[in-house]
Amino acid sequence: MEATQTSTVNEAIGQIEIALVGNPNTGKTTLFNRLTGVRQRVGNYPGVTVEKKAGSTRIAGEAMAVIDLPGAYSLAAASLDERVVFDVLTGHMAGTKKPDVIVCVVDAANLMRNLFLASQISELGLPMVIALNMWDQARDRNIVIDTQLLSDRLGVPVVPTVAAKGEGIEELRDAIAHALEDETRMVTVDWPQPVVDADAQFHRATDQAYAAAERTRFLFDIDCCIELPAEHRKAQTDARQILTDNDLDPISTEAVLRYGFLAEQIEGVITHPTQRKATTTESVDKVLTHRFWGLIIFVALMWVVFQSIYTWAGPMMDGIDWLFGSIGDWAGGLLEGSPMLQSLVVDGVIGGVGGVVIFLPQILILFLFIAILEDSGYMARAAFLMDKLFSWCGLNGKSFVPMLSGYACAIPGVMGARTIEDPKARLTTILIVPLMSCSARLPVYILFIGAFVEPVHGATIAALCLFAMHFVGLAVALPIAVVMNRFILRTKPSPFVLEMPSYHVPQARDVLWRMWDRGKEFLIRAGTVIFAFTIIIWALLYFPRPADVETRVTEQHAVAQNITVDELTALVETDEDAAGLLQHAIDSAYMEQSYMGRAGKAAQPVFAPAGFDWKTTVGVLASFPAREVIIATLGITYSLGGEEDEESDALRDAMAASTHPDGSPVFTLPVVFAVMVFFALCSQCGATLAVIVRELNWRWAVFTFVYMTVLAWIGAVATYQVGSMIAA
Amino acid sequence: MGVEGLANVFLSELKRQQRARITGFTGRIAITQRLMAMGMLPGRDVEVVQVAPFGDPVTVQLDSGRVSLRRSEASVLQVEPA
Ligand SMILES: Nc1nc2c(ncn2[C@@H]2O[C@H](COP(=O)(O)OP(=O)(O)O)[C@@H](O)[C@H]2O)c(=O)[nH]1
Repeated sequence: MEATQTSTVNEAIGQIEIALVGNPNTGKTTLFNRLTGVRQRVGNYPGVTVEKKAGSTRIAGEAMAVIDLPGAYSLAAASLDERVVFDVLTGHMAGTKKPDVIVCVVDAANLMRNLFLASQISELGLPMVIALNMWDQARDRNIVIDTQLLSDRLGVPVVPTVAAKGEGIEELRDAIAHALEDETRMVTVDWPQPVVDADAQFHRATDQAYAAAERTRFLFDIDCCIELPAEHRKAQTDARQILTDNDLDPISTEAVLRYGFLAEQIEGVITHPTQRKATTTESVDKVLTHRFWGLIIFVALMWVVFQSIYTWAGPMMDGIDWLFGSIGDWAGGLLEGSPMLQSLVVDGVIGGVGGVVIFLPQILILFLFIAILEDSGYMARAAFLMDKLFSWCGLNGKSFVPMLSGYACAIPGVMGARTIEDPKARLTTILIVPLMSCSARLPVYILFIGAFVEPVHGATIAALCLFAMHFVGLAVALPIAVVMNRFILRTKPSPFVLEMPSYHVPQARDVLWRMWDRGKEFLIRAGTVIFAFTIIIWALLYFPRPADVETRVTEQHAVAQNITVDELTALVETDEDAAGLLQHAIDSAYMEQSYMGRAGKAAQPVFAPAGFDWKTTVGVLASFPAREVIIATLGITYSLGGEEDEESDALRDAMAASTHPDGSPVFTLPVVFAVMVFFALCSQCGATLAVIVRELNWRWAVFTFVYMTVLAWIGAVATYQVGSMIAA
Repeated sequence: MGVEGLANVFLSELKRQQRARITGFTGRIAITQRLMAMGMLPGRDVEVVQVAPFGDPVTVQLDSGRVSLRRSEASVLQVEPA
């Protein structure tokens, strides 16, 4: 009963589904944006990290659903993206309806190669329309296409479009309506007899288990992406034998025959200019991929990208910080009477929301640049230039931009890894981006180098140390990538075959749209997880809050100053400095008593081999949600209050003066470097982990956390032990 | 579909601005099929138009488009230099 009900509901909301398919860089996404406008949403296909873009449009007065499938060159799915295309089109993708009509987006300037995919799709037997996009570019290159003739030959409507300018969109809507009404299907390849026989034989031997498009894949794709059940393997081998017996090599048969068929179809449809003159793209490429100038320009561009994330985002982030600080102060004032609620609202809720929003400027700026780099066509060139530097460790040229952004902040870096098509390279990139020395590590380096290195060894050595700390993560990351690739990610590598798209002037509208989309997604998806983290951490630092702490600290304070508690209370009423000192001591005692503080004390033996005392250990533990809080935590544990920053002389002095019970200093140089190495390598950023959950899944987030933390511990212990040996 | 008599030359061995005709294929099948799907078929002409600054990958000009690929992948195609 229930099942019937749900299905009726589904039926009722079941709109007609239009799928956009095509090679990468044909303008599919631009066309999708034109068709749907703002009525779109971005999600993921279940179980894979491929983006699902869905929206709706009106055609012939009826609302229809549109999905923008990932770019694909062939249904012989070599990448995860292509696998998704195949699964959606064959109706095997959970949660996505098999489309009712397909719009095949074809680059008019590259007709034949683009029709290869269309021809594979024709075997699905679904109504189809061909959008001849980039029509303007074809015209500029004097390529003439007889669309009527092409339409007659292929049996489907053919509509010239210029998606970037919105031309041909209305005609495309009409054509879709026409395709739905007349069920226009594209002609399928006239396979020669041996192929027909092989297919028929396979069809029989598998009890007609597969549709035509699937059979083609099983017959021709030697390294087929779809799992063929063991009982059908023999049928496959037999069918291929028929091909081989007839002098058809299964490896090349599909491509040779399909291209041959397409060549016949477009005979007389397309006329190329007799004299092929160099295109603008080719001329521009002479400079942008030049072995010297190309690199110079690349470095300059990347410098701008990095500067803007690192520096330009600063004022916006300060503004956000100030705004949430002010809201917190205001709310804190309102809730003066109830300390726990006050702390929850100010430090937990408002601090938590602020801690999410603070990342927005960097994300928006990075995606502004990524959208421009991708839409202009430059990203492919950047990948081409950089590939060699990364390919040896299983990454590829496209890993560069995410890793570079990682130096500002891992969050946009991890999100930016979406530009990498190869799933393995993408995964590896995401896993190592958090090792790049992000800007939140800088205060830690400044505090420790400023307090312990600079006074003894001078500014030059201090600067060198600071510089060197920025390479610790990178130096570890590349070998880690090799190890992951060899031993952990045992999937087969994807080929790095990258089409060099023509250059385009990016459309402001599409660029801004993408930027906004990413920002929104971050706030909604990752933001909620980050927020939840913050609340949990707040609770760990606040509770259990035993009632006697305050009286005990006050008594101790009074004894230390040789006055009675009453006298101290009176003094605090009138003297603000004294009140501050007392409050800081109380905060420090609460911190020591909190669950986090207790955990820090309990965990201290674990960090003893790295030379950390319990205060440093509490600082380290409290910084797991966000490494930058180490400074404020140290400020509180050293009874200076949480407002100290990394330039604070009071904090530096307090740390320099702090001693073990036996009177020896806590922070010797080996300890200082051990702490910095620990921060350089450790996964101390809940927000990054939340984004990894979102981009991959929680297992990889746990993996990242564990491997980085173990690495950090090993690094810190090694630094301390070796350092102590040298110092001795 | 080999090269008659001649020593095999692979696409990966071509220098910049060298033209050649694809004559056959050998080696990793998945990549071969991918390159053929993109139009790199026996009988077609190709030209290496760019070599990346660090020597790899290379960009190949086909009939219409340009495709960049690593030398290790280009080595699946046998060619006859023009
Ligand atoms: N000249 C021209 N450029 C286009 C056209 N359609 C899209 N573009 C541009 O081509 C680039 C790639 O488009 P996009 O939609 O991202 O391609 P996709 O990879 O197929 O989704 C963008 O810079 C678009 O602005 C068109 O019809 N003519």
